[in-house]
Amino acid sequence: MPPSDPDLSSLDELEALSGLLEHRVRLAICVLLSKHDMMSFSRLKNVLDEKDGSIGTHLRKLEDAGYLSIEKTFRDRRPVTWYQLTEEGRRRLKLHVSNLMRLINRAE
Amino acid sequence: MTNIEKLREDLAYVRAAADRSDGVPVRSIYLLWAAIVLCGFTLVDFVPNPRWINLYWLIASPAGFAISLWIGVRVSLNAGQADRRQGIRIMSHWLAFMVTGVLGGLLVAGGHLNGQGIGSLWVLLLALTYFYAGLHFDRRLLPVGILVGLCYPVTIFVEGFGWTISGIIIAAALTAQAFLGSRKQNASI
Repeated sequence: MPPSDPDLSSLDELEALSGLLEHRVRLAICVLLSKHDMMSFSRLKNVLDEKDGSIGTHLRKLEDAGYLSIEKTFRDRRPVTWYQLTEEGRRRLKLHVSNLMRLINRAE
Repeated sequence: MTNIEKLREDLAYVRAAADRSDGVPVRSIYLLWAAIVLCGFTLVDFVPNPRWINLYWLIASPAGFAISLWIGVRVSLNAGQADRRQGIRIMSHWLAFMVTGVLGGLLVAGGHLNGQGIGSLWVLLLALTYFYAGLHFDRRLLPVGILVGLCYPVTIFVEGFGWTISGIIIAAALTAQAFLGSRKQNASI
């Protein structure tokens, strides 16, 4: 039987949110990459105002989960790592955001 | 802090980051078009033969378009952001203006408008194009569009130096926006 208490159903939805995207930096990375085709490591770091180590850890987690794909190139003889959202990442983000919005709308 | 409050804060953080990533300011494109417009508009008042004016715009418009495209792609990649869809949207916007401008020339060929008339009509079309560019992808172009619109009656009713005055106003607006909008420019890669 479905829970009748609105607080309980909200808790269920909260738990249903993707664990990886629960962290705001990882969520922001996926949102940025859904908005722009590709972004470099440095650009993501600047836009999110994060340290190298922190952003690197978040990017690796997303990459390991198959949410992001990477491409390494050289620009003006400097190595550049480009990040792109995969189809799986796009699907997960869409699902996460819709759960998030439903939860917030219910609370209002 | 409740879970919902934390979610709201997180969403505000994500929204702010998305806003910060909007467009990479490209000062040189603004300055390029300030120079092209200033020269082209001044020619109308100082060169008696309209063929030279037509020739100038036939060369300067596509050349400026191609150079802007090259600069835009280069600056965007140097900043560490590749936006193919956005690039196509911006390119289509300005290309539509150029094609409409060329088609507008048929009014002169058909004897419905003289050279002066089509020139002013192009200014009006330019105002609309800048205004829509401001609405859809670069806020800095909104005031430029309004100023170009104000220049439209100047090109019609001000005798003698109406085009030069308009050219100076538009070039000044583009230059001002180039510097105001690029204050936060930062190299990434």
